[in-house]
Amino acid sequence: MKKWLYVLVLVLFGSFMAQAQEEVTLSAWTHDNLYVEFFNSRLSEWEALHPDIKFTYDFQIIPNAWDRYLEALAAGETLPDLLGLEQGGFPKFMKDGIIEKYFVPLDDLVASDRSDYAEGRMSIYSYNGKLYGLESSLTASVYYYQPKIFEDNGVAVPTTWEEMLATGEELGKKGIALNVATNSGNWFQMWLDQRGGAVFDADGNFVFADEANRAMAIEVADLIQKGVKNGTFLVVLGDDHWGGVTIPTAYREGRLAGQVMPDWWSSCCLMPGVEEMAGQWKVALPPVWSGGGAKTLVWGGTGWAVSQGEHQDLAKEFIGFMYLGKESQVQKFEKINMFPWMLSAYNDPRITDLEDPFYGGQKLGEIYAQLADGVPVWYQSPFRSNWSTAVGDNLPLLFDGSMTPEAFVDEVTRITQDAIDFGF
Amino acid sequence: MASQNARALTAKNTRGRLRQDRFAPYFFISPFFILFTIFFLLPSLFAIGISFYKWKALGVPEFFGTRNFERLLTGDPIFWQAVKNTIFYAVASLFIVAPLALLEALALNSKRLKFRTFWRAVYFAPIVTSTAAIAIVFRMLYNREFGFLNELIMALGGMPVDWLGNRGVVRFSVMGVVLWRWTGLLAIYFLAGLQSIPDELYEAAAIDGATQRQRFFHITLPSLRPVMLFVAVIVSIGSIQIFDDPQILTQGGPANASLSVVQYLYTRGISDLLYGYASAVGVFLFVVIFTLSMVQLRLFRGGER
Repeated sequence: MKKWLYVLVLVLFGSFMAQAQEEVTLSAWTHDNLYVEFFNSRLSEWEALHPDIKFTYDFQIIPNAWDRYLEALAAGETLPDLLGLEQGGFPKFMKDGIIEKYFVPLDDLVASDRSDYAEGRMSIYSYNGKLYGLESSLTASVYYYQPKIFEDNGVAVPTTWEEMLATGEELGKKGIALNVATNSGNWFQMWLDQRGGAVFDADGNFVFADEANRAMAIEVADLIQKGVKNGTFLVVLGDDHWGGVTIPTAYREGRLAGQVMPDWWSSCCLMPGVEEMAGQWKVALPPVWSGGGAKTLVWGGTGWAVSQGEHQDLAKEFIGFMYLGKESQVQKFEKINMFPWMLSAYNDPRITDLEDPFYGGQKLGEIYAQLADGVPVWYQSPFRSNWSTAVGDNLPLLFDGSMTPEAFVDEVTRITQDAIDFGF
Repeated sequence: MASQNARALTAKNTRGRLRQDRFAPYFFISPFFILFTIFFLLPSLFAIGISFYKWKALGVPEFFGTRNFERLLTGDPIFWQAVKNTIFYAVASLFIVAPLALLEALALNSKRLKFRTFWRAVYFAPIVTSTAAIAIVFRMLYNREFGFLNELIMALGGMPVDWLGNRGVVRFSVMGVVLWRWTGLLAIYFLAGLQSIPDELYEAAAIDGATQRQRFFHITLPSLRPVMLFVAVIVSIGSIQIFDDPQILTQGGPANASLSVVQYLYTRGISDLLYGYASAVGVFLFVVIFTLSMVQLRLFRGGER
């Protein structure tokens, strides 16, 4: 009898405790399952921090999630608590004051150690001086290359773009390209950013046509045009650059030695595209500009924003827990292969000592450790997509020589300025 | 009294039935009109209205007068590039794809053709093939470096062609996909028309000594006039609204050389969220399609008289 009484008391106590726990559903939308995998891997740690809350998670994988957010807002629906936001989608929220009306500033999450984070990964999610997104990856570029091609041809891996052009001329005669050129505004921008040029300033002003920026843009366009002409760059347009057969086949046939691309490109595109070539690849620091500029180039990135709402404080804490601090940054690298954008994380041997068999056992972390503090800083604008589209539309004309570098830069300027003046 | 009541009741029932009979047809056709109003009429009117506004989906639309149209018609070279490309697709579809479909239908209708059902299924297969598969296969065929077409050209001693990267060639490459995808469907329409022509007409013409050529031009073609009108309207409207063929192959590139008007509308509306401006493109498209359909209708009716 006494035993049954204990059980009854325990059950009642249990149910009382369960009732005492607050029930919270955290919702998140993202375009990539990788982020959900990472969140799921750390949920027990997160829940241990909040014994008083019973969490339910509603994580959805939605292609182009950032466009769905806008549709949801237009339809008067509520946003998820956490919003996965590809950096290219961020400017859409800079229009009509959407960010300030619907998003939560995240500056206080990095307030204590802001200088330890790559500024260039925060400026792209900033609006009116406030931070609205936490980046997932460093997105610094390296040169992914096949060492055998360089050894067989007795040439060194280029360390500057000018060297790449010279080596490319030599190998181009043998039908071997060293890098890829594609018609993407983002692609051109990573070159320009590395050279030190800018498209928009911190206040969102269009500065691409300013004397110094115009000169650098022409220099970049000129090098690209020369590289295409002498065979240094293999031109691969549109979607073929991501999912087509051209690039993997060119690698296999030894007609393309490598590509300067960001960190995320390795796991998304290179490895799945040429799995059978594991061990035949190496990574080198990216070429730099003789005339100056940053150590590396950046392309892409996905941040996480928090929407205003009932659970905004918890959601903010959640993303801070998942993404910020050395341990989180290192775990993110270990679990989903995203290089930290926190500089001190590169002191951790879990990053610098990891050998990657795809790259012949090379320690990639050592390369990225040299680049982390050299990520270029650039700024978003509501008109960035106009500029980016204008660049993408005109790059094929630059590639085929029907447009001079000067004409290319001036045409892009004219189109963007026209869009700004019209109020697009 | 009882019979009076019965008569009154009968008259009432009859009136009720008459009323029911009068409204029944409207009731039965109402689902279409309700859906038509909700999903076509109201959105169309809304789009026409919003084309006079600057609106980015959120916030209050700002009245813009005719500025969207002014810019579209006088200050937007990309739009006019898209118009030129679309005219190319429409003309090529009308004068190449449709006639080829007719030839295909004649072949499929021939009594001398063996395994007719099989051939018909083969020609219809592209219609049921997934767009993604088409994109993969045609991109591989057209690939500049390693594509089958260029391998063939080089094996024959020719120079490789940049099918998707050359601005002068890319529209023809898109038309290649259009030709492959849609000829079969149009051939089915023509085939239905051919099968409805009475054999007696041909037999009588044969007795009168008409040659095959004369039978084709004096019996087959005139008899196919309604089908030809239908095909012409379908092809014109379809090709003016062309979207997925250039989208899967080139996304409108390079340098907008294969961009269609609907792709441009999509980019402005969905990607750039310029709903007012995209609606102006839509209104332009509506006017063009409506005018063209009316002209075609008139031309064919004139021919019938």
